[in-house]
Amino acid sequence: MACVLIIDDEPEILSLFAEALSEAGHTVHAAGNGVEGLTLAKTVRPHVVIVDVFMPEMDGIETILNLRKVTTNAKVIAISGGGMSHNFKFLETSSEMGADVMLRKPILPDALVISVQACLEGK
Amino acid sequence: MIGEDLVKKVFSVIASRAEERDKADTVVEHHTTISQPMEVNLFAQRIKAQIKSHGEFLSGSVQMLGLSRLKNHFGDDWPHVSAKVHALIQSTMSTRLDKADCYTLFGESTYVIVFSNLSASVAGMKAALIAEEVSRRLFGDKPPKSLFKIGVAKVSGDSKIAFETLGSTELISNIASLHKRECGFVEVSVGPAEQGDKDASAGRTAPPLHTDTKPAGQESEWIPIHTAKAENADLYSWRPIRHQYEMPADLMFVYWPAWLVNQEMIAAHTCVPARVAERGIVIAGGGAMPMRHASVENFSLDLHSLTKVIDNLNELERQRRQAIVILPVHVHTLEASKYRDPYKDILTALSGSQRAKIVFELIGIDHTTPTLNIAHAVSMLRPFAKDLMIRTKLNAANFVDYQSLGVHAVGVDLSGIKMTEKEIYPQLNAFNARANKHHLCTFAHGIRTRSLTSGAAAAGFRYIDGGAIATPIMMPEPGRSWGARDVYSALIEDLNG
Repeated sequence: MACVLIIDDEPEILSLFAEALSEAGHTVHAAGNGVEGLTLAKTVRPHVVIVDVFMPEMDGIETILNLRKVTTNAKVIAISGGGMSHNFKFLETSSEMGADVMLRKPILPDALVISVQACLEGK
Repeated sequence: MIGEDLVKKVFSVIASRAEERDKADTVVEHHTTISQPMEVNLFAQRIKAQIKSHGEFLSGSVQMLGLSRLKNHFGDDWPHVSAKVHALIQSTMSTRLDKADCYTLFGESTYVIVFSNLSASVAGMKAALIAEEVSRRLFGDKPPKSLFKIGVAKVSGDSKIAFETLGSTELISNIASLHKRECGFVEVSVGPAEQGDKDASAGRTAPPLHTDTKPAGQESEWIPIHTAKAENADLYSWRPIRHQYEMPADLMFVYWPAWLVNQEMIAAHTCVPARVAERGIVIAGGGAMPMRHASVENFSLDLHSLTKVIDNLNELERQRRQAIVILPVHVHTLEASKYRDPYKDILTALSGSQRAKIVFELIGIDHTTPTLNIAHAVSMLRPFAKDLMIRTKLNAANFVDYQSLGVHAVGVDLSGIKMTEKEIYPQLNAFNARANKHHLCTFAHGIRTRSLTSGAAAAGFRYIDGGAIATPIMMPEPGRSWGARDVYSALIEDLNG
């Protein structure tokens, strides 16, 4: 099983995804924003990072860009609901910035577990 | 005017220094496709060619950008990061300088920039903006202060030369005298590029240039610099009007590019006050006004910005270029006739094509401002504008009134808000939702971080400006494409080294 880091400013999303991934057997670490996530990534060396695109203090894209300096091997899954305006341009941009997978919210926990597994298997 | 004599003199000093330095000394002609640094003598030739083609510079200024503080900041790491720093500076220069400008690098820590057609004060601002952009690219949204030393090269009647650090009391007073002079010698001295922090910060003229640029024992040289009559006229060309307040001498105006988010383009430029604060830090927006914000002061600011915008629109028209300008005006200016009438006099003189390029943004509005006053202001401005916007507070709720006034957009200035981003995020959503309910577009000014930029875009703000979008510029530009990726382009470039 893998080490998964989830970075999202919504506590409900964090706990929902953390629970699902833990049940799937992964070791899960959670951070409330990009700054915390980067700090955590340096110590836990995650195999997969799930990062929300729209976050205060350091948004998802800036986090992804900086993640590449910290951990080059981690797979990155960018997630976004597009905000109030359903703006998915930033989510699309995240793939240019190094995200391996993009998922639009709402995301079912099972679907996230499958995506993480697919990342780990290199699919 | 800056004549050939000055340029020859400057380059004789440059050339003499260049001979003393190792081959690593480089000169870059920023605007060409030449990727390799040029030799110093080519830099001099470039200037001479320019003089030959133009006769002489109509106006101009020599600025210094010193890196000694930056070097000290990095300490032992400097040898490892210096190449990146220089690459960033040269990359920034390539986009921020005009075609006729040139710059050169002395040693490893001093850039000299020749702004061929800018007054000293405008050039100083531009140099400070370049320093600010480099700082942000190096250190992110909250760069350490004062890591670049900016000096303006000027010459006094009695031939003293020094680079005076921007922001010092003496420089400000010199800029003030510059504005007031119609012509003649510029009486500011130019000093050593990397010497005299202490002197400059104490408000004294830094030691003469020769102490830095020439071997000890050589005599200093005195260079007369002439300023053109028209040089500063465009900055303060508005006619004297009663009730005006004398603006801070170093106050200038720059433009924030306004990003039209959904269309992925820069749609307009917002004219904002700016000034170079202590030790070269640029303050743009409301924070640039060291005043009490009394009506008379706001009125004077409005007049200044209006005349600045007209000057720039005239220049764009002369160049056959198109750009939309967002021009803030205080609602108080349009309330009392003693302010409103002279402001309106200038508006009346606007041509049809100019009116089609100005979007007025009513500012100074809060929950105490009577809707009737806003309505009067809107009706007064409408004949002179392409469209109208209202800047209000983040917690504003009277959007039904604004809708009835037929304004294009409502927005906020986030630059002075004392909240964390985590607190601002939900308020952006709520503001936008309230405005959209009344079919009003929204705009956000003064955004300084990428996370707030993406947050505002997610909230649905139609226009976003601020430092995270692009550094302010001296002139509005015709629309250009700008997408989500561009918000991170500087960061990507920096990470790629």
